[in-house]
Amino acid sequence: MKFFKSMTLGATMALTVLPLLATQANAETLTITIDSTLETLDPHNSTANAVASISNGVMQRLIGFDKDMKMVPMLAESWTVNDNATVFTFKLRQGVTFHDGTAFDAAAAKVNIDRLADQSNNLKRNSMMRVVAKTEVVDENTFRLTLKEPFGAMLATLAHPSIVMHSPKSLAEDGGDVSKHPVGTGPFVFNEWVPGERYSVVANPNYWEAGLPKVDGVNFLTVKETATSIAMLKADEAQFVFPLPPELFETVEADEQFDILEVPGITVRTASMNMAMKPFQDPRVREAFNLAVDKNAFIQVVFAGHGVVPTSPIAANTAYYSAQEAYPFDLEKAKALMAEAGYADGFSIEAAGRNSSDETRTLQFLQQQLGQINVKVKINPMEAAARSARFFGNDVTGETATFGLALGGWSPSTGDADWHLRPVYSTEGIIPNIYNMAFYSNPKVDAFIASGLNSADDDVRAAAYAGAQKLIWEDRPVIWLAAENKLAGARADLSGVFPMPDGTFAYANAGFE
Amino acid sequence: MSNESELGAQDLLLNIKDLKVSFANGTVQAVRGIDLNVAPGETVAVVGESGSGKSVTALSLMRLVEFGGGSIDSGEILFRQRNNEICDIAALGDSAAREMRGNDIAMIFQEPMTSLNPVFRIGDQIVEAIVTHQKHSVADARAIALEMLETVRIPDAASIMARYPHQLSGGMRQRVMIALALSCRPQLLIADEPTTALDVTIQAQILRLIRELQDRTGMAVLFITHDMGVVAEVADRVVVMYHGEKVEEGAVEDVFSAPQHPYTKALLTAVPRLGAMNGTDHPAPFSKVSTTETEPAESKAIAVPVVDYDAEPVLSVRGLTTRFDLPEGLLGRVRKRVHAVEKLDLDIWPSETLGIVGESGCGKSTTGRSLLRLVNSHFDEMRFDGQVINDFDKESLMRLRREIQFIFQDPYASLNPRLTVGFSICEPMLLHKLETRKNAFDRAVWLLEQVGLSADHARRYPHAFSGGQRQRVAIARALSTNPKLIIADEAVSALDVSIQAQVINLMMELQQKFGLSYLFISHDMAVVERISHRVGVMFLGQIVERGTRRQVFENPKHSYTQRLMAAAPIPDPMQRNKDRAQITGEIPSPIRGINNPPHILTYRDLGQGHQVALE
Amino acid sequence: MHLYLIRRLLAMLPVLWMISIFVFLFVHAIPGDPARMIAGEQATMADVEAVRRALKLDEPLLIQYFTFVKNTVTLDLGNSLRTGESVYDMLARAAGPTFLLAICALGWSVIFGLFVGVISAVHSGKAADHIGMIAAVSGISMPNFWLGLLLMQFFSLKLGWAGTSGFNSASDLILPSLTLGSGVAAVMARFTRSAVIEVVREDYIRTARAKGLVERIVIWKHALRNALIPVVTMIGLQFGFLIGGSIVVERVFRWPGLGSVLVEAIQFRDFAVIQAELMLFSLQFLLINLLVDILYGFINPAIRYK
Repeated sequence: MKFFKSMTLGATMALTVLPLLATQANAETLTITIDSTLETLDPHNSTANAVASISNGVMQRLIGFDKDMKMVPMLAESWTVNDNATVFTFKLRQGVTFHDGTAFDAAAAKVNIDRLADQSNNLKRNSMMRVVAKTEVVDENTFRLTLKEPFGAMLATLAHPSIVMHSPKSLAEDGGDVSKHPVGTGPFVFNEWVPGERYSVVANPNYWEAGLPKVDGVNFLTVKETATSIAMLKADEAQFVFPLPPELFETVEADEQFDILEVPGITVRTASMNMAMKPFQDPRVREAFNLAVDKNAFIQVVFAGHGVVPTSPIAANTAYYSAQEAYPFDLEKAKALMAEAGYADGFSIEAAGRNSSDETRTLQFLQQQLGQINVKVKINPMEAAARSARFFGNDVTGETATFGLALGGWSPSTGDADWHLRPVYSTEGIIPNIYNMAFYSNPKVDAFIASGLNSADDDVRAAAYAGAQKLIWEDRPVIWLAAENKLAGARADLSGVFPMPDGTFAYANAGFE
Repeated sequence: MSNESELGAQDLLLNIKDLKVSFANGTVQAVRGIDLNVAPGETVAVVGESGSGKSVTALSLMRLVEFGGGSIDSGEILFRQRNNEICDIAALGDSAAREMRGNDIAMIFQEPMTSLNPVFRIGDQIVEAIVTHQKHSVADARAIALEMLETVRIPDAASIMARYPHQLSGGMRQRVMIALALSCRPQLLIADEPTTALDVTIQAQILRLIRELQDRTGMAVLFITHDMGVVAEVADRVVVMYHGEKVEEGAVEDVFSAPQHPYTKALLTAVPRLGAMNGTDHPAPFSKVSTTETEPAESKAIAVPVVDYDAEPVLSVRGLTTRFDLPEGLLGRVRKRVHAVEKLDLDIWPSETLGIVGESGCGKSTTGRSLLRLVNSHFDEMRFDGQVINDFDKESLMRLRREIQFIFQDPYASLNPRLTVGFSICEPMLLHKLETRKNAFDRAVWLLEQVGLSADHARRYPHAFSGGQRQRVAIARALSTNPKLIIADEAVSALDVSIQAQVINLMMELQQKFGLSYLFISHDMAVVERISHRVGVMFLGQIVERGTRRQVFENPKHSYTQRLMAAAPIPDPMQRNKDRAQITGEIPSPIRGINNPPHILTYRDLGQGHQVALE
Repeated sequence: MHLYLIRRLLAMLPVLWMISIFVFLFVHAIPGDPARMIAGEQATMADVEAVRRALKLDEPLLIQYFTFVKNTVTLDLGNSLRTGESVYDMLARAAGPTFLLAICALGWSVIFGLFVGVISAVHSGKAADHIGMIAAVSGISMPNFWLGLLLMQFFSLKLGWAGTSGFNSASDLILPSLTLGSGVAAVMARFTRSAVIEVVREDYIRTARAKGLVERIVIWKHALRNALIPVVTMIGLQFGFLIGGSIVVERVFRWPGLGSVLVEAIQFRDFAVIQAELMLFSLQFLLINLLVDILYGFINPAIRYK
């Protein structure tokens, strides 16, 4: 009886849903919701994930990432690098034209890299090409890049989503404004941008890659309220929702019409311990802090279980990751270490972070967990800009920084160990310069990081970063909390659109099955 | 039908039989079985004080009492309609009652200032009444409305049609109300205290108008009032109500000459009669009469204070001038100002009462306020209690405000409803740091006893008091700082006559006991005559005549004083038809152009302080 | 009347000038560095300084204030620090949807609020009154955010009668304006109720009844016209409230309005946009005040302006 009932129910549902899906499958336009507004359409001048995401169907890089952040040829078919990572030569793909008809060639690549290398352009991504000394058109399809100093992470940097190739014509002074009307080589052509509201692209009929694009166009809508984006997904007003907040995971997962797309992220969430403060100068205290926090519980509380416990300062899918032994949740040992360090009765600290729901919850969680080793935590969830001023203000020094714990989350958008270890753990990275909020400084670590940059050789680099990761892991300047998964919700028949580990998403292969 | 035969037999317009009306679901009995008849063309006055049920009776006739939360419990209100059919108003359905209202029976109310809707034009408000009941086009209705306005003698009626109520004076508004009431030619007009809020001169005009209209249309009038003077002016028959019951009924002459019920007697005794003091030099209290047969008449004699005019005046003011600028235009330039008080001289001796009489807007209230600098004013010279006050620094102002106290017309508005009266009385003492908290409360209790209340009243809130009791509280508060002078601004005007008499007696008693001086400001000639040693008659910000009470009231020399006295209603029906001088038209305005200051009056001295402005 | 208008408008200038000072000081006093926010989380200090120079945020405050005043007076308004877009264009684009939404919300909520308020007042203490006031209290206490999602859930997802969000056609106004107006409708209902109850006690209502007018006219014409006098003040205040409340509604319904622009500008400390928008709100508030005063004159003949 029960079986019969559910069968009829299923049949009725299928009858009502199927025609709906059928008609929708014919609608060849995809709508994607994003959670922020676009400040520009020029990835060279933006640090926003959203800008990188919406651009990757329109403009392409020399080197791309596959879904696991492994470098793959894109506009460059192959490349060679000299031993000390100073000269990079690229064989470019032939027969590629920009949307405005201009041919993509070595000259075009040169124009773009020169634009980024010229620091006087005041572009937000200028710093990524600061090391470039010379760009050369070797022949029509060969482009060479010479650096001022060895930089082993150069290939990964060129694969960064922001290092796209604009049409040289669009970059020329009379060519238009690439911040409002980008022209690239991708499967989609820029169509319309209403700032703050929507962005749309249409299929590029002359795209170089066979079989693409598979949809007529893609619309991007800014939806700040996540509940609204879920409603839009369910009303089929949008077919891909990104990011999907973990707390809404279940409402999407429960519905067979929708899929959850989940990839392990490369963002590592940390609580930096202010090593300019006396208690944190004691390694036993830092170890105790790492042992006193139950990371699995943390991932449940803050990311609804969608994350992994870090096993290195960098995430597992970041290049040159080297696994360390995870810190267990061991309260007894933590208490013992605190007592040994003379802090059996604990001490009081302030923990600061954003007032976003996830960071507020993180602060509350830490407050509760550290209370178990008698540390009194005063939590301070701050508005974004106020927090930014507190952490990265020009006058911030170890002496003036009053926070004991600072929440952070770093995502190396090049997918390379260098752009995680250097900003967060090197002496160079100490705030306000970049992101080292622990005021952690270990010359040996700095040396490893430097040697990693001095070579383009995978083995050499891997060894250097393994050394750095091991030292940092033992020094424990931060509490490693989690590497959360990147989640997206999508209509079940959508393919080719997926979240990337770096917090962007790719849509070039979008299609409905 | 018996109804018909009865009304027909007696040829009555209205026959109320054993009407009972209650409020709050029968818990409050407002009218306890009234019988009342009105013949066509007759004027019947229903007299009584607040709470006697007279207004409730009137509202029941209109079936308006339901809107105030009341209900007609029993009884009949038989009314002869135009087509000679008899109906019982008490039993009419809501819609039939509505059709009757304003059509067969119309009503005018006590408050002309608030009885017209402020947001609609005068003409439209009258037209609305006409088209509601009669099949007239709006154009025809406008013509009728205009005719009605002319009938009630509104000058320039055509332009008044387009005005809003706030642009008219109280008297004009009451004329409009009458025009409105008469617009459907009712057979019965109910006039509920129609002149109480008006100045005496305007009151006389309105009363005369009603009488004339009645003569012309033959309608009957049911006149609700507490003022025996008005009754004497208008009524054919009188019905006296007391506590929801009719206690006396009779022809107006009979009731005035030979009142039967003790309440009627008390009421007539308490009526201040202009001229009642003729032949005497000093103020005199009202003789007290009990209001019920069981209550013994109060016998305590009140000694009248004698004033020593050789002494220094307690307050002496020269050249008091108060003006209000009226800014206008883009830059707020002053082109006009109100000349509220102009070059006024005042002297008040210890234990003396100086009465100031005049009509609304004459500046009498502003005078009182100016003395305490509650409004910005100018003095040539001011002496108080032997001291010259020439600059109003904080200290001398504090002293002045301690030594001079105010009593206002509306004690409810001047007492904070959220404070116990005991605290309200303590407040001035604490403010002026005269007493400690504990002593202040003891003194408050003592003061309450002085004004005829008791100690346990101190812990109650103002809403628990009747109007007369509240005024007693206000007096107790005024006394709390031991003042030398009390300014009583229309202090008894809102009270029922019997209460009014009691409060006046109390004030005189306290004057004797504490050596108080009063500046007694009132529009009521008879009251001023009763209480004052000396009197000033005020007109357009200046005194037109002053002297002892006897000089001014027995020998008025200024024409304005004479007209004012002539307009005061005389509570004696025998004198009704005496042709008296009338003040016609409106009270003149004290607003003048900036380059057109008023003429400062000069006086003729008639000897012994009697001064009259030259006309 | 013209004179009055001119005087009132002129009087706004010094007020606006004072507001400009407050706005500038406020914007610069709140913690947060636009260069840092715009450069992004991963920027190095060198990047931040480059942004600062590019946006002329390194100029002295006084110069920045004069630029702000100059921009405001010339209506040029400068460019957004974050996007470089003309602030005038940004506000011009967003003002339409926001005001349209506010007016729609105000429109229905005032009419509805007046209606419920009068009905409640007339049936004061009876069932209709209780139902109306319970609805009003719920309206006031229900957060816009929650109500908006609820309506979306029901009308867009369950019934499929409306799109979830965005502004593409006139019908898209319905759900957001319902959400935005609910609080105002409730306030209006309560306020109208008490105003009518007060007015019904007035002598002129007794006069109207004594004329024999039907109760419908007594209430809806005589009482309501007078009750409107305080209610109009309330409407003016509520309009300001609506503009504020629209921030949440705009977020939920993806409404391309001023609220979203302001929130984002504050988030990124986009001074030019915050300043211009706060000035716009202040001006709008002053104008609404003026409008209310003029309306007042029409409703209340005792206050006619010359």
